[in-house]
Amino acid sequence: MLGFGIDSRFIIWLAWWMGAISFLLIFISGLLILFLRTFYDQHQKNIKNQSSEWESILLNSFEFVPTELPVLTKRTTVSFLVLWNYLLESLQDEAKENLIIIAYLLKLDQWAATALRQRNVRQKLLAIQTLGLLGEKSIWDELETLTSDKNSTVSLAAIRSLIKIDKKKAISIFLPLIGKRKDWSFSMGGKILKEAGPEVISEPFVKQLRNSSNDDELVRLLRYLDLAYMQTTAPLIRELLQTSEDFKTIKFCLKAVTDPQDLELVRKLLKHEHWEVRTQAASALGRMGTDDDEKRLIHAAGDQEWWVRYRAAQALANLPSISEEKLEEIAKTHQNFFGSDMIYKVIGERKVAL
Amino acid sequence: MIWELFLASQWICLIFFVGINFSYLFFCILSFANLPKKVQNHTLLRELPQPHTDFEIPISLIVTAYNEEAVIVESVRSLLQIDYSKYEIVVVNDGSKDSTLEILKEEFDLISLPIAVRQRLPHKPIRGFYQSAIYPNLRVVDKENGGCKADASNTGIDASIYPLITPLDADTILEKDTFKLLVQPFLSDPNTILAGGSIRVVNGCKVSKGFLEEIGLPYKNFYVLFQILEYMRAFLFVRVGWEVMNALPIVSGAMGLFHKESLVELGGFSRKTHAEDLEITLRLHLHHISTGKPYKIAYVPDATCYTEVPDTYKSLRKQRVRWHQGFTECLWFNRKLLFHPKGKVLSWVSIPFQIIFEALSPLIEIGGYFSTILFWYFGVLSYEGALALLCLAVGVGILLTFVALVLEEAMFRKYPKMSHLFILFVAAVIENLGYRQINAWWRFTGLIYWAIGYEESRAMARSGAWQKSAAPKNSSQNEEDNSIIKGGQGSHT
Repeated sequence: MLGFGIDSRFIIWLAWWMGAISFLLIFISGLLILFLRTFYDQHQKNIKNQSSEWESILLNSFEFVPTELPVLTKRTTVSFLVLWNYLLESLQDEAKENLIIIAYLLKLDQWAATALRQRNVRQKLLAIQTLGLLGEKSIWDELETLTSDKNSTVSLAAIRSLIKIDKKKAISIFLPLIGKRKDWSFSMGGKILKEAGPEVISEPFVKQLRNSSNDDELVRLLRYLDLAYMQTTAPLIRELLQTSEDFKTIKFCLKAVTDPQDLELVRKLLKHEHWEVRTQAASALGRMGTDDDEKRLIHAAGDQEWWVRYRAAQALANLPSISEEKLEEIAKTHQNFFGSDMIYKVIGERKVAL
Repeated sequence: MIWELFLASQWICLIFFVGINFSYLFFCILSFANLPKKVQNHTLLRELPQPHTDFEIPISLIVTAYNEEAVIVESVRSLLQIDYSKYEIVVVNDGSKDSTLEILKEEFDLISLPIAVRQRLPHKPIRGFYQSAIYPNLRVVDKENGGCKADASNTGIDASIYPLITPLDADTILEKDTFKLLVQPFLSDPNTILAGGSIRVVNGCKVSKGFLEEIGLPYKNFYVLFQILEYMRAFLFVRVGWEVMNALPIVSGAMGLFHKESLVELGGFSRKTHAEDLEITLRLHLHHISTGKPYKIAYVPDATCYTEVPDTYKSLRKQRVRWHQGFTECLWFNRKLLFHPKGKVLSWVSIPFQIIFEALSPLIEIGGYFSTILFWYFGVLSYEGALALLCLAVGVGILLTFVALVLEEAMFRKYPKMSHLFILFVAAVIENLGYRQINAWWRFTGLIYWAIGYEESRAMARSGAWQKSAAPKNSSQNEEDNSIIKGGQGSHT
């Protein structure tokens, strides 16, 4: 009889054993923690000793490549590569050459090629990045395979390395995937496209936009519109502003529009039913509007949506003919209380900015 | 008959015990399988230079302040230094009675602007709106006191201009890259509506200029040490486990990044609850499940903030009673989530788990202790059986904490000294011999308070001892006054 009224010797027996196993596992966990700490401390000590040596070699390599290099042990390869990658990512082109020579002398290309197949994500990412920085063309196919890796960090890192190896070829792989990979980081995508440069991306980008199979894909690409040359994208932007019925498409086109030829289209869109479109239209008029837009923007400053009012008031303040006094006069005489308030807010912000 | 019921209740206790421990064991396995992947993805992000791309999603940091004159300047200064490309700081002075607003005006050269705030959420009226002439991304809203953090946070949301918002307390300490990490789920999944990070304990650490200078432990204060272990268990395996199943029921208010429009759609934070952070998480779940909108609530374990925890028996008791009352209240408010036909793992596993193993657990635990005493009184207690079960309960309790410590050591190693490890080992053992039982009693009280609708004072005293190294000398005389912050500003783990 278990004292609590549960009549089972088995339960008591089980409880004793489970309790004993728990204490044994606690003991093992404690030892494991101490082992991990000791191992880590020792590892850090080794890394620290070797890092200082490698750090001075790498820093001196900006001027010359040493004839003899110390042996890079397996244990310190990763920390060395972090340092190497850090320096290479932070430096200008001319200082990179010697670092790349050192990497080849240490056979880091071979290490990275092997590490590409590892399960450890950190080492895999480091390997991908290293191969990209080395411009290692021989590994292109493996990196291309990794662009479809399920892990978005890994696939984007592979794309970035491909861009470093061959911009044009890599962009043709990257652009079709942007619309499809919804898990890809928007900012990382932008970073990669920026690194590729407008001279490489502009034309294939417009081509890809035209080939988009649906609005969703199109919108994902349109977010990067201002990374391409304006003169290349302008005809497409115009076309989309004229024909598209999707408010997101119109919104992103308005964000990038700068061609004065499109001014009439933008003005029309200031009356669009969707407030996000009206907001972007007001912002666009702030960039490219003329004195003819004064009345339109005064009216839009009294819009029912806060953001439209705010952007319209800002755009109004940016018009060439609008002085501070005139803006105050507009605020004072504005028929809409909210519009008046918003213009006063923008006047205040401009004063603070000055 | 009653006696038989009493005997049967022991089966309930036993099933409860087995259920809760097997669940935590399951979370441990999920965490061991998933935490390294999650952290490794971000490792290089932290190790290598990451120039800003202008494509990051801008963030509004909403700092709610009530009588925070001693810490507000340090706090804002630290936020001005975080590593993020585009963000604004909106300080909401929630009708402070001290000189919080005056200090902010003087220190940051605030200029009054017309109040053209886009009011979409309920909150007390705004009295003034200011912008810093030195830092264009710093704005201050002065409002009437709303009596709760939710009211101040709602004001901040209305005054903010960016699509992601995070409500912060004035005494929250962040790591420089916290937001860079916390924003990742929003970048990789457009359906993300909320991302939560980890909270750690600042008591015992050295803080300088709003940033953590050295991590330490308050060796002599076991209340704090126990809480450090509780936070570790909660954030290292429970959250990871739920997130893997896409059924994370709680995101702590002290470290949550929200998609603003999703919050506004639901009317912002509720002013009627003791735990507005938990309530909004559940409400977001319920809304998206009911409407069938795809959504994701993510957890980023390496996005960390530090917060002060109660260091006295009285303040800890008060916090735990309030938390449990708030927790039960939020579950009740959102009871439609339970077994919701479209709710999947959340409605069919996570919410029942929260009800049985969290909300009602003090009832079962206290019931277990009570009936044990009763059986002992009536002389039917087998010492051997009682001892075996006690040994098992204590053993499993300690083991779970040690597993959390293994995860901590393998992934983060935040506590740098060997002595830290030993003191945590000791605390992990002692925690099970009294503290857990007292904690169960506090939570039981919270449950009763919720059942009878009792409202305890929400003021919570904090010592602010960790701030002493950082606080300006002239403010030390007011330290005691300023250490009293609104109870609603604590966060639920």
